[in-house]
Amino acid sequence: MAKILVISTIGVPLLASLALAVASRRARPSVAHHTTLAVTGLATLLALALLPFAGGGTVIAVEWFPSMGQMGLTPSPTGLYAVLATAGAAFFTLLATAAHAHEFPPLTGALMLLALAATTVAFLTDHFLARYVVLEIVALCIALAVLVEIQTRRGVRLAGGNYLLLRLGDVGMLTGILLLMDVSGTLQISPALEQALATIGVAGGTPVGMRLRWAVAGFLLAVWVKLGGWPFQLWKRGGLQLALASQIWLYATVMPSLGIYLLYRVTPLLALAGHVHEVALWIGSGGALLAGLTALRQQNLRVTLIYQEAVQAGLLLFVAASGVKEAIWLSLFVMMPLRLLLFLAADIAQPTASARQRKIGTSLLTLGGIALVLFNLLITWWAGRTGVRLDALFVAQAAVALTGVLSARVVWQSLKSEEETGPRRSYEIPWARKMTMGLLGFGIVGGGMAFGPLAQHLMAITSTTPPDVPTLPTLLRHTVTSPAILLVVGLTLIARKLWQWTIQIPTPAAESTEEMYNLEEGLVRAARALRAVVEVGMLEEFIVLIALGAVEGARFTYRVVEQEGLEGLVALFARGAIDGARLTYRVVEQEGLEGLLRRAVQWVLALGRGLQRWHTGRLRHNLLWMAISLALAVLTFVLYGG
Amino acid sequence: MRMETIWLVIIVGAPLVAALVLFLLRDRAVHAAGWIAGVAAALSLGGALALLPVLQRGQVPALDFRWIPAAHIRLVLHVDWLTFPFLITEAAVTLVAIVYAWGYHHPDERTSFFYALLLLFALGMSGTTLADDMFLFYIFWELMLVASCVLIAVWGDGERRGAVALKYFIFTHLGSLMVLVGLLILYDATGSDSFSVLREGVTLAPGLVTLVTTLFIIGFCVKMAIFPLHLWLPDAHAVAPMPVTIMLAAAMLSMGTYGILRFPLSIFSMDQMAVFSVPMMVAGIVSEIYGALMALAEDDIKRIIAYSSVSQMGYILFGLGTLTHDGIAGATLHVIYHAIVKALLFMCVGLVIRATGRRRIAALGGLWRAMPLVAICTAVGALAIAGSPPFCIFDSEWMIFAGGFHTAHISLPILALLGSLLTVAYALWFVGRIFFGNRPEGLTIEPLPKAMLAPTVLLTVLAFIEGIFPAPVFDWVTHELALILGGI
Repeated sequence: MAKILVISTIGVPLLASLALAVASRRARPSVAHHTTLAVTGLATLLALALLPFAGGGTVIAVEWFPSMGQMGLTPSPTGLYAVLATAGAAFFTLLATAAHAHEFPPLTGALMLLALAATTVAFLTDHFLARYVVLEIVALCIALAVLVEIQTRRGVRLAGGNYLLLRLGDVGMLTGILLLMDVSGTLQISPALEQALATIGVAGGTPVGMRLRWAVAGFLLAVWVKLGGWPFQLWKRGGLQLALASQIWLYATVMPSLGIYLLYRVTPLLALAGHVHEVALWIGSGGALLAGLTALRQQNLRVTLIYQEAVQAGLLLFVAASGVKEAIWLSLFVMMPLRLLLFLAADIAQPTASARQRKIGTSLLTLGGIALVLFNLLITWWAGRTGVRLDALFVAQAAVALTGVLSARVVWQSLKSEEETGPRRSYEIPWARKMTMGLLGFGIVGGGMAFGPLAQHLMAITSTTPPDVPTLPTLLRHTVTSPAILLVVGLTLIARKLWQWTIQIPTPAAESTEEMYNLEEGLVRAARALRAVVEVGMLEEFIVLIALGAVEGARFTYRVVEQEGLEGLVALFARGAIDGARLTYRVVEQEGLEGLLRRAVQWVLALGRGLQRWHTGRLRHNLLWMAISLALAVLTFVLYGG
Repeated sequence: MRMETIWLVIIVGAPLVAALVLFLLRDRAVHAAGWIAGVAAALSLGGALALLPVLQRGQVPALDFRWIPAAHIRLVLHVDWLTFPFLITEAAVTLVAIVYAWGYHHPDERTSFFYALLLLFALGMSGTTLADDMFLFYIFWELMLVASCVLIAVWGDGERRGAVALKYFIFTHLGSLMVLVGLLILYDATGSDSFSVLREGVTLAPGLVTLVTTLFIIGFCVKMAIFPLHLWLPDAHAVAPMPVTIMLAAAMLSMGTYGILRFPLSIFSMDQMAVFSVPMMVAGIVSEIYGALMALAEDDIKRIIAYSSVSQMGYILFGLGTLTHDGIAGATLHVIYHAIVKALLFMCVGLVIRATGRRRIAALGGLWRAMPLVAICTAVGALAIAGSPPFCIFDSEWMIFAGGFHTAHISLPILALLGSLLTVAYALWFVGRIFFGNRPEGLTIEPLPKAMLAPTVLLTVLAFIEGIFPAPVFDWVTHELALILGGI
C-alpha cells in the first residue's frame, strides 16, 4: 500500500505535468489551472494518506547509476511532513489565485507539477545523487517558468541569470556530496551524515577533517543560495515579474523549503566544523542585518518581502550554526503559511487596490509581521541559550529588530497609501482568495496560540526532545532587555521622527522603486542640513546630522551595494569576463601574441619562407604559438617529471 | 574464419570497399553515393555491435596476418573493452553524419569522392582504434588526418579553406610526430611493435618513462585540442562541411583520449603516472575555462560550438588526470556522451544555418516559433552540454568530479566545478540568443530536409535515454578499466 501511495504521490503530478506540456498549445488556461489545482490537491491528500506509513523503511529502490548504490524512496516522517507542507502550499497558492485562472499559462502548470514531483522525490529519497538530480530539475523549472511567461530577451536574461545563480548553489551541493562520499564511501544520506558526524569531531585538522569542513561549506553555499540569502535574493527577484502562482510557490516556497530541509540535515555537522562554523555564524547574522538594512530602502511591498526572506535566511543560518536544529525543522512549517499569507496580502495591499482590499491586506500583513517577529525572537532566544558568541548574537538580534521595523514599515506604508487618492481597482477580492487567506490567518493565529503543543508534535516526528517554549511574557521580557533590539528600535524611532521633522520628505509610496542616487537631491538635503545647523540648536543639529548621515549612508550603501556594488559587480564581472575573453581571443587566437613574440615570429618566418607563401597571416601567428607551446609543454613536463 | 573475425573484417572492410567502389564509380554514382556510404557505415556499426556478445563472453576478437614479411610487419586488429566504446562511438557518429549529409550535401560530380573520403576518414578512426600494432596504428592515424584534411580543403566553406586545411594538417601532424617519437622509443626499448606485448609491461629508465609519457600526453593533447594546443580546432571545425565537422568534433577528438588511455595509462603503472596527475588536471581545468570563455566571446555559431569542444576536452583531460577509477571512467563516458551531444549541437547549428543562411549569433533571434523542433533539440543539447540532469553528460561529469574529489587536491575539482558555470553560461546564452527575443528584420526561414532533421531528433532522444539509462555504457567502461588499470 505504501508503495502505491508513494508512486502515486510522485507519479500523478508527473503524468499530469507531461499531459499539460503535451497539450499546452491547445489547453485553455483555466483548464490548465484547474487541472494543476486538482492534482496538487490530490498530491496533498496522497501525502496525508501516507502519514500512517511514516518510518516504514524503503518502499522503492532502483540502481540508476552503477556503483553509486541503490536509490530508494523512504516515507520518513520528516520527509513526509515536508511533502505535505509543500504540496499543501501549492494547493493553497493555486486556490488563492483561481480568479486569475484565465491568465494561467498551461506550461506554467506543467512546470509547477513537475517541480512538485521532483520536490517530493527530494524529500523522500535518502540518496544524495537522487536528491541532487531532482534539485537540479526544480532549478530548471524555476528558470523555465520565466521563459514561459516572458518570451523576450529580458526573459532569457532573467531565466539564464536565475539558473546560473541556482547552479552556483548546486556547485556547493555537489562539492559537499562528493566530498562526503569520498570520506564515508556511500551516497546514502543518513549513513554518510552519521559517519561524517562521528568523524568530523575527532578528525580535527587532518585531511579527512579538512574534507569534511569543505563538504559542510559546500552544503552551506547550497543552502544560502536556495534560501535566497543576501546577495542571492537576486534570483528570487526574477520571480516578481511572473504570475502570482509562480511567484509565490515556485519562487518563494519550493526552493527555500528544500534549502531549509537541507540545512536541517547538515546542522549537526555545522557545530563541529571549526572555522566553517564561525563563518556560518557571521554570514548568517551579518547577511540578515545587511538584508534588513537593504529592505528598509525598498518601496515595493513584494520586493520588501524578498528581502525579508533574505533576513530570514540569515537568521536560520545563524540559528543552525548555534546548534538549534529544532528551530530549523520548525521553521519549515512556520514559514510556509507565513510566506503564503504575506505574499497574498502584499498582492491585495498594493497602492492601486481599493480601500477595502488594502484594509484587509494591511490587517493580514500586520498579522503576518507579528507572527514573523515573534518566531524570530523565539529562535534567537533559543540560540542565545546555547552559549553562542555574544557579538554574533547581538548582530542577529539587531536583524530580528529590523524584521519588526520592516513589518511596521510595510503596515505604515499600506496605511499611508490609503490616505492618498489615485486610481483604484474596483473589483472585490475573489471568494477563493478570501477563504485561503482566512484559513491561513486562522491557522497562524491558532498555531501561535497553541505553539507549545504544536512544536511538541512536530518535534515528536523527529524523535527529539522539543526545546523549551517560553511564555509570551518571557519572550517580551527578553525583547525589552535585549540591547541590540532596543538600540535598533530606538534608532529607528529617532531617525523617523527627525526625518519627518527636519527634512519632510515625500511619502515613501511616492518614491520610485528603482530610485538612484541623485546628486541634486543630495545637495538640497545638504542645504537643509545647513539650514538646520544655522536655525536650530546645537543638540538638534547634531542629531539631525546623525540622522542625515544614517539615511544618506543607507542610501549610499543601497546604491553601492545593491545597485552598483552587487549588480554592478556582477555586470562588471560579466563584462570583464567577456572583454577579457575577447581580448584573449584577439591576442592569442587571432594575433598569436604578436607583440610579445615578434622576434620569434621573424625567426620562424625566416626558417619557413616556402611555407609562408601558402598560408594566411593568422596561420603564421598561430604556428608560432603552437611551436612555442609545444616546446614549453615538453620542457615543463620533462623538468617536472624528471 | 570465425564469426567474430568476419565481423572484424566487416568493420574495416565495409568502408574500405565502399570507398574504393565510390572512387571507381566517380560521377556515375552521384545519387547512389550517399546510400552506398550509409550502408557501409551501417554495416560497420552493425559489425561493431555484433562483437559485444563476444566480448561479454570474455573472448577477444582478433585478426592477424603477415602484411610486409620483409619488415616483420603484421596486420593485427583486435577488439577489447578499451577499444569497444570508442569503436561504437566512431561508427555511430559516422553513420549519423552520413545520413545528415544526405540532406546537407548538394549532389554534384564530386559527390562520390566526398562520401568516399568520409568513409576513409571513418576507416582511419576505426582502424586506429582496432590496431594492435604500432605501424598499423600510425598508418590509420595519418589516414584519418589526410582524409579529413582533403575534405576540408575541397569541400570547406569560404576561400580560406585551403589555408585552414594546411593549418589543421601541420598542427595535428606536429602532435602525430610526437606520438611517433614516443612509439619509436618504446619499440627501441622493447623490440616489439605489438601493443599486446606493451600491455604486459615495459621496463624503461625513469627519465625515459617521463620523456615517453610527455610525448604521448602532449601529442594526444594536440588531437584533443587542449589549450594551448587547440588552435587548429576552431578554424577546422568552422570551415569544414557540417558532416565532417560532426565527425571531427564527435569522433576524432576522442582519438586523443583513446591514445592516452592506450599508451601511457595502459603501459605504465599508476606510480609512474602519478607525477603527471596534477599537470593534466590543471591543463584540463585551464582548457575547460578557456574554451568556455572563448565560446562566450565568439559570434559565429559554428565556432561557438567548436570552442565548446576545447572546453569539453578539458573535462576529459581532468578526469584522466585524476588517475582514479571514477575519474577515468567518467572521462571515457564523457567521450561517448560528448560525441552524442556535440554531434547534436553541430547538427542544430547546421539546421539553423541552412534555414536562415546566417551564422552570426547577433544576426539571429526569435526562431523559437518558426523552428520549435530545432529549438527543442538545441535546448536539449545546450542543457546536456551544461551538465544538467537527466541528460547524459551529467552522468559523466558526476564521475569526473567524483574522481577529482578522490585525489589529494580538492581545490582542483572545486575549480573545475566553478568553471562548469561558464559552460552553463555559454550554453544558455547560445540558445537564448538564437531562439528567443525578437526576430531580426529580413530573417527568413527556409524549409529543412528531413534527412537533416531525423538524425538530429534521434540524437536528442539518445541524449535523454543515455542520461536515464547509463548502466549499459557504464558496464563497458567498467570492463575497460578493469582491463587497463587493474585494481585502482
